[in-house]
Amino acid sequence: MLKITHLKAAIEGKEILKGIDLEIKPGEIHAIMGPNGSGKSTLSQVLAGNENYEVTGGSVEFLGEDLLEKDATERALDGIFLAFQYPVEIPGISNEEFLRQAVNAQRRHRGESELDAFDFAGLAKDKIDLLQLKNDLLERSLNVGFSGGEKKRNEIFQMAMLEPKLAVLDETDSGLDIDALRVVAEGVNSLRDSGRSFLVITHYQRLLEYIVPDHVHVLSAGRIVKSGGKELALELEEKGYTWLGGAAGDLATIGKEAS
Amino acid sequence: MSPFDTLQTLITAGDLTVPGKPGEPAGNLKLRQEALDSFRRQGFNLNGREDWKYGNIKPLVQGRFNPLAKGHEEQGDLARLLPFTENHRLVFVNGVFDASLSALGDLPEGVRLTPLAAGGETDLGRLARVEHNPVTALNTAFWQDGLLLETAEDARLDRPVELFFLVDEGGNRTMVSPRNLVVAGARSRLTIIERYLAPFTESANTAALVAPVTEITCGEDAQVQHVKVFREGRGTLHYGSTHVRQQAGSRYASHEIALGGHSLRRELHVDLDGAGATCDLKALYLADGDQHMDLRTRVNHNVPGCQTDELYKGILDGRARAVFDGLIKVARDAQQTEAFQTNRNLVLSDDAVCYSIPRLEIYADDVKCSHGSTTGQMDEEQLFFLRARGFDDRTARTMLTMAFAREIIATVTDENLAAFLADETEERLLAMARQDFHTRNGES
Amino acid sequence: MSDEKQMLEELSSREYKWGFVTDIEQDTVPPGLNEDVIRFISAKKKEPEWLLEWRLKAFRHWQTLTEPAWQKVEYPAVDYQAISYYSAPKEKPQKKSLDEVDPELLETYEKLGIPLSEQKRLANVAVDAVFDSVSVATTHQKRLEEMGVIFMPISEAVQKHPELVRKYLGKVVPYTDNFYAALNSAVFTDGSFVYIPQGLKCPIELSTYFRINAANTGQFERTLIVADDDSYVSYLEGCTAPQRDENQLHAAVVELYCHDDASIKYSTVQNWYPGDKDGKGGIFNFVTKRALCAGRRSKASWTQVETGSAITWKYPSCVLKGDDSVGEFYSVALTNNAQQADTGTKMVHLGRNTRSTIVSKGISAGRSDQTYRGLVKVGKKAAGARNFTQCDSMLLGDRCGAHTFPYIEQGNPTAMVEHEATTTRIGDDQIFLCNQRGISTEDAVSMIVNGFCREVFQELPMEFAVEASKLLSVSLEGSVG
Repeated sequence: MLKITHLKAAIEGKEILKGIDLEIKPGEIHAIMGPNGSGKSTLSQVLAGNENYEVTGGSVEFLGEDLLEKDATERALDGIFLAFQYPVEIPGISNEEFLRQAVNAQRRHRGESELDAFDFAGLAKDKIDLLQLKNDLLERSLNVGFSGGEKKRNEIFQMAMLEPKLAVLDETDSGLDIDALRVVAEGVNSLRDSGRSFLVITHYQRLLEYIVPDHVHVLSAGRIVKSGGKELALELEEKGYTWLGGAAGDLATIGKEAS
Repeated sequence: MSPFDTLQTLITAGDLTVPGKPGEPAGNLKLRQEALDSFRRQGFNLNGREDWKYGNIKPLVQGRFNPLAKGHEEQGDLARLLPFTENHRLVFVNGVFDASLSALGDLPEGVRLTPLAAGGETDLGRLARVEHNPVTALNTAFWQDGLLLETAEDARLDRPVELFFLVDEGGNRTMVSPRNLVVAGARSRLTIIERYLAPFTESANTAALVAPVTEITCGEDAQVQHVKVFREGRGTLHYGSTHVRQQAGSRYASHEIALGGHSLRRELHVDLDGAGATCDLKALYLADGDQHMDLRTRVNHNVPGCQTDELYKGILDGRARAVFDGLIKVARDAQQTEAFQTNRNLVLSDDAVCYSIPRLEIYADDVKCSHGSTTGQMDEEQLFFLRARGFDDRTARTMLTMAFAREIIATVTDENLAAFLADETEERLLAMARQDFHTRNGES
Repeated sequence: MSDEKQMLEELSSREYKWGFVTDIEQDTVPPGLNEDVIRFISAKKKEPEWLLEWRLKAFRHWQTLTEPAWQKVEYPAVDYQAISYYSAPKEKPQKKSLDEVDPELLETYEKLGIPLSEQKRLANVAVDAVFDSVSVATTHQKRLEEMGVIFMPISEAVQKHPELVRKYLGKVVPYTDNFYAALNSAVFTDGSFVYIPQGLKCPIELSTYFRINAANTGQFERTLIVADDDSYVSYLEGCTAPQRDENQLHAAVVELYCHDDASIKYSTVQNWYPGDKDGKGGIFNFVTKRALCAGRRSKASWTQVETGSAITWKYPSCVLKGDDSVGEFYSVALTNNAQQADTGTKMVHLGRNTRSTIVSKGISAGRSDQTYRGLVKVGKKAAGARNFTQCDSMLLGDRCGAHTFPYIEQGNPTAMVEHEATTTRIGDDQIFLCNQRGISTEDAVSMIVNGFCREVFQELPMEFAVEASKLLSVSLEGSVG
């Protein structure tokens, strides 16, 4: 589904990703772990097509097509979803309006008919219940006045509505209490199927107890320094990033202390 | 001109030369003459001008003031007006420096503090432009004396420089023109307190026009606190201005506390010329009786990344008129500007009128700017709450009014001055409340 | 250049859709203004002597005035002697039904989306179409007559209801009010007259559609709406003009008069030709609109969506004279390219417990400059008066200007006046979020701007709200990139 080859990227002239190789097959869940500043969020932003990040080398293939030559909108329409680490607020736009536009943009792209307000409301209701969100969610302005947890759950709600092919969750667990974390995880798990893949970016192993990954990669200083199965996450939790030594170790103590 | 003519007559008085002081540098003399010529071109042609909307123009035009104020002959009892503090003190009576009342004190290294008239060649007039401002033009032509304060890089003045501008009977029918120049070097820190007193013009049949101009340059990362207290008597007109230029990283904090005068107009012009400069502008004006108070601010965000925080509060009683006119202008490309402007007015009487013009002029898109203005009476719920706790109506009202004023006074960092202002404000408010009480009882 | 930018560039060169010219024979007086021209207009309209006298008085007063200069707009001087003050399509003097209206004209309005013919007309909107200086058709006449509503061109009302016109004309906006009002009083050619009888809540919307067609003519229409005791009417005004390189002057006057318990809701979607991308051509829109809430508990509500004109100078106002009367002003103003607008309102509180609300949403894009200028004045006797003002500006791009100049004059201690203003823009992060969810940049901008304006659009009648929202999207094209 997704094939990243020697990907390098920079922001404001500073190289953050220094050659990433990663392949995700349909139905797989990959987790990327790593200390702060290792490039985790940069990777998610680059995949989603944020133009503030400059790709300086390598290639990314998504569903057999060159991803990097597409803009953010086209990538979204092709089925890439990014759950933002810091969800953006837009005053004056209700969740409903926003999502209906987004859902219908997807449907148009796929050559399907647009949903009217009633169909949309029915679809939304199910997902709202699933994620245990408040019923007034749809009327409220997008993320305005939302608590940290509500914002994160709203990202998952959007993901559920848009049914992407590849979902990139950028530290969706940060700032969530254990109950909220469980709800988010259930939302993700309910969307698991053989055609849909996930890239879960996290600092802590905690989330991976609920969303069990097929593969775990450790990112450090812009490179994947170790890959393994789900047991790698536990090992990391136990020993801290220092265990990996070298570049990862230098940055990693912070991660250990915080967890 | 005859000493008792209106200032307008300067315009038609044939060729005029401004008399310089003995030994005055040629540059200053030239500036005086240019300013006089400028005044003679513009006159008091202020009607219909946006920056004088709701302003009190008549007393300027019709009042008879001799611009050549000459100081005072006897000291009289002036010393009793001066508080006992350890501040660096300069006292000016009717515009003229009085060495015997002043106490410059010990100065740290790198600080130059002297009366301006003794200061030789300076950068006077760089910030206070005389065009389009007849009062500034008159001041620049006729200034008598004032403060010259220069601080070297990193210099620190721990004690405030406190200026007293007094007008006594000798200043009757004169235009007193103090002129201050402050140049704060990079990373230096200083506090200036300007205090205006004219106890001898309490009654309306004596009159003086006090027209000060202050110029302040804040060097990189300099910190300047500037407190101005206007406590002139009810016969005095006060039309003055402050002009500030701030370089990168500097901070300018201004307090304007207006308590006295018959008609008072203050202009505060700030140019934010270096990235990261911040200014914090606060004012409290208390007007009652027939007072007219007119406070104007102009802040120009000329470069990116500067901040303005402005809070002007007014309390109006009697037949008073008060104007707040604040303009924050964000120049093209002055991105990441943060500017907040608030004006709040408490109107206590049926006959007081309050004008509020908070203005934003914005030419850059990545900015955080807002302004707000409220005018109204006391919060009835708060009043009820206090009364329910056993305070009588008058006490409750005074408490709430005082609380309204305290928000400004509490931010004056000089403790002595803050305490003085709190007392002074409270006294004024109690007097207002008494009057109010009598009026109310009289009516019912 | 990025693709996005390129796309936006292309869009911005799209043309003003309403810019076509109707080829029709016109009666036009030669340019110039003097008492003879005024007599000519008055004679052409077969006006009574008192009206001619009033026009002449206004003209003489106008000659003593100079154009206002305090507004924050810049434009070349208007040569009032180079304008033609009367232009009308040549046609039969009296039209009995729409069948007699020139088919060219019917077609023009069809093109503008305003069907006038009996078969196609809007079911619940009565339309008075004003083409250059004269009213060409009014729909739903019969139904309105049955209800006692008078809705006709003001020139016709002068003939049929002279007593009413004479009683109210110039009572809300006297000819001495300002330069443009004086000019309009002297030379106004047509416009709508509405009278709603006592106790009637007018069930259909009344609408006037203004169209400037002829070159070198000014448009000086005059609208007068009177709502008698306990009545209600909703009135809509729309306008367009052909695309021409020269500037054209539009100096209208609208007067609303509300008696006790009466309520008038006046909505405008103003879409005069704004000039081209470089600021060439476009309408100078210098309009005086005022409501007098003379009666107790009366209410006047202005809603405006301003997207057109090269220069806008417009302050729909409410004089709240009757106790407990209410004034409202809801405005969306959008300026793009080289447009300049100085617009806002005046709320004058004279009566006790009068209330006013101002919600102004300004959107500046391109190199445009926009100023909100509003006066809230509380008179000495306006005990208990309340005003709340919310002014929000949105800047799209870093070459435009957005300014907020409120004037508050508070003369009663029991009154409460509150003003708030904010400035925002559309953040890159917001656009990126929308893109990431599959919404194109253009749709995202349109959606966010519409959200920004929601409070105002809610005040518009349904058909108008949809229209306004579309118009906004079209006017915004090419403004973000």
